[in-house]
Amino acid sequence: MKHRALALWIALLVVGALAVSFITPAPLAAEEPQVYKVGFISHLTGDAAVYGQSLKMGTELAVDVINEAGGINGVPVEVIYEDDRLSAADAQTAFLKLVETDKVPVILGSASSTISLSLCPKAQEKKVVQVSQVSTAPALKDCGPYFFSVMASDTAQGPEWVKVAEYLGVKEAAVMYINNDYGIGVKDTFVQAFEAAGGKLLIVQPFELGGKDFRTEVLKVKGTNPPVVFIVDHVAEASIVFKQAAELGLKTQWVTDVSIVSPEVPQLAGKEAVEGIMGLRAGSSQTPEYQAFREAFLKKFGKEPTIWADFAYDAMMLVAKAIEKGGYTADGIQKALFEVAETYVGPSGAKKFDEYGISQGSYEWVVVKDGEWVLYEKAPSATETPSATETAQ
Amino acid sequence: MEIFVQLLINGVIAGGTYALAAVGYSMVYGALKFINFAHGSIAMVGAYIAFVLVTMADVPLVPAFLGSMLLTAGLGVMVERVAYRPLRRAPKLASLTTAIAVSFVLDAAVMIIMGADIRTFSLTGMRSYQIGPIYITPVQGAIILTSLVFMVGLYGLLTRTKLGKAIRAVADGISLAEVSGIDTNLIISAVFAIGSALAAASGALIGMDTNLQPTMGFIITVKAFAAVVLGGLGNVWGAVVGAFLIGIVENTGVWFIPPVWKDSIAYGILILALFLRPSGIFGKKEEAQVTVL
Amino acid sequence: MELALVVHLLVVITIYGILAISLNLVVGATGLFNLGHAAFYGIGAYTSALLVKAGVPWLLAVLASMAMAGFVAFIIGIPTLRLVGDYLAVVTMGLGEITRAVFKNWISLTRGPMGLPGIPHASILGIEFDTADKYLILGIICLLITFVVAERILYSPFGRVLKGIREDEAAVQALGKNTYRYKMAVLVVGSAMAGLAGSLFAHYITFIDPSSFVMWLTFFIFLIIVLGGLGNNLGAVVVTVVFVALREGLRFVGLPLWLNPAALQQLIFGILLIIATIFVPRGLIPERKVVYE
Repeated sequence: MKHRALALWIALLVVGALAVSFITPAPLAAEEPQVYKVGFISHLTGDAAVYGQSLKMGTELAVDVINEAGGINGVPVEVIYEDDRLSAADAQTAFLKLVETDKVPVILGSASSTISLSLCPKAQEKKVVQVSQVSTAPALKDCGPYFFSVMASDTAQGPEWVKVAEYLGVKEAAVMYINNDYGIGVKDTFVQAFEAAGGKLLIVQPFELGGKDFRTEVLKVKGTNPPVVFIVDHVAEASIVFKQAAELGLKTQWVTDVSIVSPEVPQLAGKEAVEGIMGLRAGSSQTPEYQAFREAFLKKFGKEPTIWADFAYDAMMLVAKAIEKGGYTADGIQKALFEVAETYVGPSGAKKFDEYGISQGSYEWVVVKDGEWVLYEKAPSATETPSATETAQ
Repeated sequence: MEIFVQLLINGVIAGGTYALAAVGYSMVYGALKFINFAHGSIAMVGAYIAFVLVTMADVPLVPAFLGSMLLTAGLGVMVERVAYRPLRRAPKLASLTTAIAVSFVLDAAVMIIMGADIRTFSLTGMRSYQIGPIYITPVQGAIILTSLVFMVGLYGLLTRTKLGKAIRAVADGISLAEVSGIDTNLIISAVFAIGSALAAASGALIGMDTNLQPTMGFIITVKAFAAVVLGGLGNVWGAVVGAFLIGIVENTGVWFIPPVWKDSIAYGILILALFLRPSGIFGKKEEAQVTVL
Repeated sequence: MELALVVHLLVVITIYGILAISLNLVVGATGLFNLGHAAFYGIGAYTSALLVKAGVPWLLAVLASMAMAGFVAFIIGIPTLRLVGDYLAVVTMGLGEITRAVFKNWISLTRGPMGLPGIPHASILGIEFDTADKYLILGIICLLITFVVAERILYSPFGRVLKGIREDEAAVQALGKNTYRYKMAVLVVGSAMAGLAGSLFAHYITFIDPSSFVMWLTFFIFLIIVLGGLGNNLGAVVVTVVFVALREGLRFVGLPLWLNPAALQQLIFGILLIIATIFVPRGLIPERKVVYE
């Protein structure tokens, strides 16, 4: 009995191996490709799908613009979208499919820093360029030469919040943060910077990704009577927090991180709940590049640009320019990216990379007025954030 | 002190939504000895139907709510017919498998049709009212009221109507019920219809109170399941008590413990209770003999 | 070459195959409705990862992680093995979730939601398994060992008692067997195997975080063993191959973007499962009946 089972199993393996050798296609002749393929990995389904889908839209817009202008040196570009289902293991599979089957030299992704971190070593190993649109964990800078991020590191948000606190003239504050790598990262940099500047933290309250009921957490914060609450969160949970905070009568000045500055939040939370909330917005919405992007986005999708679509747009544009300059190879793209980014200014701002491949960034202050995020007119003039290397822990 | 009262109210509100879902779960279990893991997904569909009626068909809130319950009841009956009935004589794990597969199908279908974005009902005039030290919104009040009304209604149904009697007969023993001339297939469909309608109510209310996402079904399934077992399998009123208990303990517990443990609190209570009373709070001793296969 | 992707999938198949066999022992053969199985997978993964990162040789770390998983199973078994059927289900589900909360919250040890990156590759006596090809060999060896051990258990007198417990525990007890001891033994062994799978997983992907060990994974393995035939390990492995191939293979079917390919995969997967379960409720490859002279 036992031997028969073993034999069957070995037979299966042999058959499988034979099948594999038959379906492996003959190596392609080295000819000019008819289309430049670029990979894309992000969360297209599941809890954080709103971010992945948004990045996808920004990328699609960029592809349209590129191909309408004739493509890269006359060759159209095509993006292959893969879902990482917010899981490191699935991201690996997606990565391998893109690299081995589609043979892309460059991959855009992921959104989540955790996933980007898990993909990075494989990208270095396989020598594939990885350009993340919005991953900002400080650890990413040490990942390797093939990794790039077009958004400034998290380490910059904390000090920016301290500036807001100084502007508001508060010495005490509460912090609410979402319990994932992103939330913890921003919370830590803020706590450090705020206490170093002499501030006092009334309460540091975490809450869970995917939760629907934050009333108790809100009540705890309310109990400390904070003049200001700094909150780092994602769209889904933030809208619930604001809604429930308003319901429970928590009156305070909210200041948010970059990932909540999105039109969905006032929509989902209800106008009254979010009136007057301040936040940080990565990049700048006042530039002509952004305005042009916004109009194109409206035209194509019929709505205001969704969160970080501008970063996705810029990532794709940079990759296209790098292919144009350096050729359709990983090493060529890797070198060219530094060069093209030096002078590139897109809807999400100037994208010059530091030596680790992380973009510089600046923040503008925004506030919700009448259900929309608008520029905060009274902010002190926008400042360049220090590079990731300077504020690295 | 007043904060504690608010926490209690919050717990009751949460418990109300769990209770609506748990009751349907419990009824199905009672009739078929079958754990319907797709229950939460059905609740989610109910939520979305109500959402579509309100935001796209401009149906006023209450008719939309009732309409969703009706339509979801139909969905429940259909699911039972197509996916569960053929497996009634198969090993229990097969039905469990199908139930999970059904939840996959429902979740994915909604995601494709409605998109993965979060939606809200955007109800106007949603301010909260302050009654003494307590804050409560109209929707939350509606949740408590609706759960009570439906509980009372269900009680009446089960104890005073022929249908109710037939349902209880089937719950006591399906073969015996058949022998006494009850059309068990019809009764089972009725049970699924009622259970799904209540699930839809639960989903719609949760959606109105917070928001809607295609993935919201799973948590509803889990909480309802825990409530049902806590209260004693097959005991509908036990499920209600279990649901409120879980809601209250969750909301008060998070005051003292980091929120990452929130679900664990519910489970912890459940496990402790089962350890002390193995058949649930109200379960009959014989119920504990039920095996899976 | 496409080969690398296929190799990667084969490695994943060996890991899931071990998980399936381990669950088959506990659920398939013995009928213990363990919904928290993913927790042991996680315990194995974290234990192994942390030990190897601290400098312990991989072989020792694997054995330690299996022991750890088995030990935790033992602790959990003490109160829960007295429960039956659906109660056991929800308690194990709860314990699974609590374990995951521990992974998430014990930040000083597990780095919580940020996960453990940079896990060293597996290595035995200086041979480092750093490429997928080498890892496949390791995976196949582990799978074969697990398979042989499981089969020996199942087709032994011990195994016959287990299946007896699945069919009718009271009868087995009447025969004088201490069923509790048998159940505990199989739970510990099955969990240790899951721990092995966890260790393999950790050193292959070289990054783990709590999201890899969610309940959905347990459901996935449940589906595999049900379709493969409860207690049938060969069936389990075959179905694992089919499932993984299907799940990832659907990536290659070029579907229009607006249809949300990822959700569509889930939809098709679910529908296929429902059809398969209805037409082959006892599993694709029914268990071999043991014939006595």
